[in-house]
Amino acid sequence: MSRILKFNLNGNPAEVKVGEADTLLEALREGLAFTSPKCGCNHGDCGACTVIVNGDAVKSCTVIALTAEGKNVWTVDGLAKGGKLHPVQKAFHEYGAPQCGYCTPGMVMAAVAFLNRHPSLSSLTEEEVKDALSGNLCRCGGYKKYAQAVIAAARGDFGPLPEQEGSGKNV
Amino acid sequence: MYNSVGKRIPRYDGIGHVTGRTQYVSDVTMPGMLVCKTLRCPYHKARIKSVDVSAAKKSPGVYAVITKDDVPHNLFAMVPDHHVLAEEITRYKGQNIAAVAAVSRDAALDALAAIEIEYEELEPVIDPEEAIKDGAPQVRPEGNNHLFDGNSLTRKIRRGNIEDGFKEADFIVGGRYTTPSQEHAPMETCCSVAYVDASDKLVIHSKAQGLYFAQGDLANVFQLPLNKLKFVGGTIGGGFGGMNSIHTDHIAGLLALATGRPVRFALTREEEMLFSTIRTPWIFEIKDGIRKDGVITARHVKVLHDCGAYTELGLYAVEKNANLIAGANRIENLAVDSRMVYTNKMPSGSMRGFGVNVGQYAEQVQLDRLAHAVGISPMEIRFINAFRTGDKNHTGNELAAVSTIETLQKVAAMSGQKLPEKYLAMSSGSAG
Amino acid sequence: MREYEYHAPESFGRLFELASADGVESRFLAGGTDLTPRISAERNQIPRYKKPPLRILYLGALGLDSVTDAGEDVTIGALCTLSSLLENAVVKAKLPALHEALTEMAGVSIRNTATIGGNIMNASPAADSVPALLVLGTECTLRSASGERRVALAEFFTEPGKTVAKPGEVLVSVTVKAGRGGSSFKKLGRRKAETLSVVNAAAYVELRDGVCEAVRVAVGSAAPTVVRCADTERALVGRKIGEDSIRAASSLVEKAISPIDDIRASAWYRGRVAPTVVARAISAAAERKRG
Repeated sequence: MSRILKFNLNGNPAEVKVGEADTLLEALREGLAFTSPKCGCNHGDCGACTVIVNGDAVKSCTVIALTAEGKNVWTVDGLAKGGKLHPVQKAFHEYGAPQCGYCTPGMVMAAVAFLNRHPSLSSLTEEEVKDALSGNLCRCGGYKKYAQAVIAAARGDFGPLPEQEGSGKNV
Repeated sequence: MYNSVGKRIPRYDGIGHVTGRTQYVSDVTMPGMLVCKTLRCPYHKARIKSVDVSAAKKSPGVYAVITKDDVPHNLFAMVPDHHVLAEEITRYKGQNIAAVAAVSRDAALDALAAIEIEYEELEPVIDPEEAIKDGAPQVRPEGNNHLFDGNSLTRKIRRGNIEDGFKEADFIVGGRYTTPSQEHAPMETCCSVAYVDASDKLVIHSKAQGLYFAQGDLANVFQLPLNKLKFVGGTIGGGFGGMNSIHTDHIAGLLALATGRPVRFALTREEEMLFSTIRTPWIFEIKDGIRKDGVITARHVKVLHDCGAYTELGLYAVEKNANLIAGANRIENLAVDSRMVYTNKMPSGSMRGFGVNVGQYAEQVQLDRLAHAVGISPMEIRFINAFRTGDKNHTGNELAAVSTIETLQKVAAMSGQKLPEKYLAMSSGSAG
Repeated sequence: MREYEYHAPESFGRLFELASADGVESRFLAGGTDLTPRISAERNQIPRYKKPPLRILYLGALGLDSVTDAGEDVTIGALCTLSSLLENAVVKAKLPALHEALTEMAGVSIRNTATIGGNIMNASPAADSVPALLVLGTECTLRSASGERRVALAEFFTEPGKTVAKPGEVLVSVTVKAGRGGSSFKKLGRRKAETLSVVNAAAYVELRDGVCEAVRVAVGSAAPTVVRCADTERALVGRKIGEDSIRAASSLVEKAISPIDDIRASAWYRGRVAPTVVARAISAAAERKRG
């Protein structure tokens, strides 16, 4: 059977027909054609499908779509405003962190959720960043640059972090 | 006057990656696109006694069901011995037998469940060392051993005379080294989207690492002229060599031709892990003769490559492995005997180095053992035997721009090892 | 070939009504980090088998996500996410072994979704919360249409993937004893994060003048269920806690375990490392009490 899932996607109301056992990843990719969350394993292991739900980074393949009813969901598509990249996006790009890029949208969302929730960005350690990104596999092995880029973004090297939608603070 | 050297240059596709706009093959959708799923053999080896797809064809939402009889030319791969859809005998677990194109994943999977197949399970051989024995279960009708140039059990390299070299040696050191199977595990699983365009061309969005290889190979499978077959490459979510082999392009293309509709064939992670090509296992036996002064006087290497059920890129890996297995060492007396054997497993694909790095694992550990036998440091043995500019390599080609010694010096510096002055003074360009 | 139904009942009455229907299989859905991929795998499985409809009963609308501090006892709602517990001041102050286990579980994005109730009901021998809860002295509250019952966690698991919960019974909370001793959890995984335990262990130690007065030790991923190590515990009670006594007691762990070979490690390896992981947990628990 199919049902209609209503939720908020990147700040806008969204409606999509879903099967009752469909995952949030399927609803986004197949139902709404938002293909930025990637399906790497469909098993909760790789993190390529990471999105932000009510401020928290979650692996959308582990979420039954209908549990997201009424919630605020953000994908990487919602971060850049008017062509202006989020500092995390800028940092990843400038540091050359993405290689094949398939893990990147999930990495961005994991990093943004972490920075939104982190109380003191100036004292961020590499260990904390690694922990925050530990659920996201990069088969090309670009971990080091991703971690360095997150620290640079936190430091403000790529402009102030916006307290915008997608943060844990106003959703 | 360099624009790029020494500078951090942002990737041309970096913005697409960080914004999620990059479109991978898995992200391609077409209006009216059908979903392909395949039925795979559940046994390591079996005889297919009968296949009945009549009920599957009538299953709701099904556009096409194909088996071997629907493939214009049922052989593919670099050495074209692999069946697109299985013939009478299946040779590895997960070999594709039938494929369905349907309106949804559910419809496709339901149709697969309606296919009736009668199997006779046959005795497989899994272990490569068992497979080379007389009387082993036969993986292929022509036998389990690959015959090089059609007549030789081994791919041979000969230099000098190893018997003389072993006589000259103070120590003989043997070693056996094995490497296991390894899956590439790219983040994006293998995926193809195929359709027939307005000019009657078959278009395939492909993850292939070598588009033109795949195009030529599949033109033969489809029996289409090259101008009727268009491959669209682009950004792929990782390959690591795995996408040098065709996993989905052939079947997606056949179903697009059969239905006239766009077809997507994407492997699940489980299929990718279990049934795609892998770096297959290797067994190396190295016997070295070495003098007290650390000079390697002879080396005999026996290689056994487990190729899986079909040749795919196994032969290429054996050639490259054989050429480089003796390492960056001057060895005047050398014999390499490489064998390749078929087993009832998924076929040997390319993976990051085509058998070179697995060989180097064996060779480098062997060098450490030689150093231990002679009582010198692992660094010293490498300096003593290192290739120099102008040397001939193991297959007789003159070497230019050799950097073994310089690399060793750098490694020593980086790892804080103090080298004796004579090694610091060495260079690849100098005599001696 | 299976129909799936999803419900998010807002009352236990409705939940039990839905769970008791004939001709369907029901599964309670908490965070979904184990169940959802399992359902996805079933939906993608080749070949497909005919199965009765699966009714997915989401527990998120039942208000089971609070932590109640009642002094000696701390009651944790089954739907508390691992992240929420990790940030919970009561858990951190009173249940250090559990807090430590939470830091070692999965990665951030799984902890944001996964729940403590789900980790218990999944009944994996490698569940990281279980050894910690076991040494702290935990009771599980199961609720069904006919009321509530409490079961000691020590008697909760019967075999891998199985608990004493009957069909239609739902885990609503766990009640954990803070105790006056120190506690700790240690884990050995194949990598640092996002990994299942090769072996894990927890310990709870009460000391007086450096002498062990009471101790509870549990080891996971080394037997069909998480097990208490009775011989290890006996060897410590009444002894001065120190490197030697801990090492001697931990070596007795092999009597409590029956490890197997699986994709994460061999039985041999598990047997070899279990005493070390246990010793680390006991040392850290004792240290925590001293400090």
